Amino acid sequence: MSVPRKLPTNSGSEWLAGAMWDHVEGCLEPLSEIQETELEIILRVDIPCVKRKEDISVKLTEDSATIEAEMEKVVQYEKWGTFQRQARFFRYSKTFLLPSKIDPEFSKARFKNKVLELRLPKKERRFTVNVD
Amino acid sequence: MTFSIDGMSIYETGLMESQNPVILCGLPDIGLVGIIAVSHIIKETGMEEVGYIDSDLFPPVVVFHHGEPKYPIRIFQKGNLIALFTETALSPESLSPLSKLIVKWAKGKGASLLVSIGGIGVPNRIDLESPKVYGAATSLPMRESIKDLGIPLMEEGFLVGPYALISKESKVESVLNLLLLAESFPQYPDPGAAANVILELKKFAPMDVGVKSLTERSEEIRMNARELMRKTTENMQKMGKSQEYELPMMYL
Repeated sequence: MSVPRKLPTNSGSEWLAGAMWDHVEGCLEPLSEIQETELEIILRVDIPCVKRKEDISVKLTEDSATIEAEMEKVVQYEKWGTFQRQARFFRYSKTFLLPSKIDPEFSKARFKNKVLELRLPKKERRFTVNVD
Repeated sequence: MTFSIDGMSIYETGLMESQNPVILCGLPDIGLVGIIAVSHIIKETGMEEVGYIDSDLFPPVVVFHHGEPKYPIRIFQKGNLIALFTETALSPESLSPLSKLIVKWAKGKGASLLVSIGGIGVPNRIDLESPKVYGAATSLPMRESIKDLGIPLMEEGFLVGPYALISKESKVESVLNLLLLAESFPQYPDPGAAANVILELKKFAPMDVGVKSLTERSEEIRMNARELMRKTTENMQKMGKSQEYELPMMYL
């Protein structure tokens, strides 16, 4: 399953391409986990420092989910890691490619304990066969 | 003083003699529970840095604190309490020699207790206000103590990773190993789980440590530990951590 990063690369340097942050955009990549059941895909995204559900945007297609979330306040680091520069972050962003097609219309989302949980029903039609 | 096994060494730079110390392990695992808990204990009790662990099997990493390069796996002490703490993810290849080193060193120190602090990944963690802590131990009297103290025993199941190896080696070396494992987010840093483990740990190793500040800093910790969590998750997948969700065959 491919889960692409939506974060732009920081400087084109290969070793930065795997970073979970973009100081130019003030953007962090959230941690996430995807669980697939027979009927649905459950996507959970960890978004600490986001306070209200109104600050979260979820955009779905049949194949992807894009999460954007604004933090309650700007998180500022005076010396960000080895980078040693001031860095400010105020939002999360990530696009997920889903392992199966889903039905966006019947998808559900909830936000609890700073975790966003999406339940995305699979589009695939299923039939029950009686066993004689 | 240096203690080495299989190309891995503990360097004691200021370790004080202590009688039958309690040794805490905060190694990278589910929810980074051990790392978060041990880091908090080190800060709250004002433990002093007294050594480090190094090996060619570790990634070529130093971590800078206040301009000083430090080894990512360090040892802290306050009186009878010793803590091992790592700031970097550990490759599966390094875990076996590291576990042997820790247990044999603990035995040499006459440790009264070697405590493995970790997490058990639960899919419904989002709905748990206060995650449960489970206990396990290499000795029957300690398992009885766990139950007497009102901590549920981890009765059946697999454990995969550094604490599994420490547990096995402890049995070989007759070191008393206590495992305290909190229900945790499988792939997110979980300060809430770490706080609950500390509360249970205090029943075995009394210490003046509150968890209020840990809870208050929960979001900050979750944000700052994202990268370590991601690397740890990658390593856990390599070591077959998913086996923890399987049922053991014996007694079925």
